[in-house]
Amino acid sequence: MTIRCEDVRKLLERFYDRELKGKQLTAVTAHVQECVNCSKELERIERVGRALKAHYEQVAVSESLSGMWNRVSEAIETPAAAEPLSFREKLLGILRLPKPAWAAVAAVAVAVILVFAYLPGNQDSTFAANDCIIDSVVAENCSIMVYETGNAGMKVIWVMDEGTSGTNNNGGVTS
Amino acid sequence: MEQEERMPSDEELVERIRQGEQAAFQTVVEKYQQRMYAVAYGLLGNREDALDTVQEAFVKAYRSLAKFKGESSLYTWLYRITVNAAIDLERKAGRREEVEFREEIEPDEEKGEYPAAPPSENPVEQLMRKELGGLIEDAIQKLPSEQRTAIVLREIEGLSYKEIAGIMKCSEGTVMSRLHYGRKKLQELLGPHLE
Repeated sequence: MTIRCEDVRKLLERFYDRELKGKQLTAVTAHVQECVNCSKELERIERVGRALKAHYEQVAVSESLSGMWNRVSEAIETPAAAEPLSFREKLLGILRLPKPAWAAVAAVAVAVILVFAYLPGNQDSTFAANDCIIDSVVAENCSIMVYETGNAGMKVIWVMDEGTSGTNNNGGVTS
Repeated sequence: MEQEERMPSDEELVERIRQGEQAAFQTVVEKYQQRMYAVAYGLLGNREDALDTVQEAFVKAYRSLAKFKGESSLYTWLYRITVNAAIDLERKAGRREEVEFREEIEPDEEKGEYPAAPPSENPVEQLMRKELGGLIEDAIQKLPSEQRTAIVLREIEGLSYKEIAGIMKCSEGTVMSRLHYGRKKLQELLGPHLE
């Protein structure tokens, strides 16, 4: 397989990086052995690469890292600071509540739904036009919406358990 | 005749750390700190940040050792943590303007230790090396962070395109492009000094 200089130039970096295989590798190897210009171009790439590698290896060798273990061991002894939970993580945490807790949440939700259902002006739907969505999360089998009711100014967490056969609603509430 | 003490394998060290032997973790730190420092220094460009990053990486490794399943070598696992810690530090400092490179890499081969320091140089050689080193560091810090990351991972660590793509969460074609433009820029900046 013969190959032109312009084609070799496009492959030179991959050749240098040992990413060429098969016929391309054979062709470029043969070409750079014979072609002075392509050989020089390869040498330019290699020169920069060698300089970088040599420098950063030397930097590492020269750095006294004898105190690293002390730094690490001291840090290990210090308890890890807890990262603040995101809104999504907080809500997903709710999903991991034990079953009795879920039952309580569901009971409260039913009570709230009933209250809202019989409030004047709210008979048509649970989520009224003047309610305001604060945030929502769609999880794998479950979606959660947090909204503030326009009438009572309450914050409601709405949990929708989406099974294969349909959608079951469970609700929770915080004021 | 005194028998030379055998260096425990990484698998043995991991097992001993899991059993609560902190001295085994000290062995790991001392074994890999140099390579991790080289990468961190290459990515961040200054000694203090590199040291902080290596420390942070080891602490994270210690605290998440339970997650290490031994599917990759201990070194490559530590290496991944180092790169991510460097990225985190850059992001916190507002120096990284783009994407997360959170994907894990699975390099094929075990990386060895660095060779010993070069033989002693005369003062002129030392001066030239120091000057060139400064030029190299200036040049590499002038690269956009994606190009710098690709160059460091390739030229210092010798990672494959596939491995770099895994870390940078991009295609191998993008890695090639970043390497190409990074090298082009480095060639402009360093080429005349390397002739």
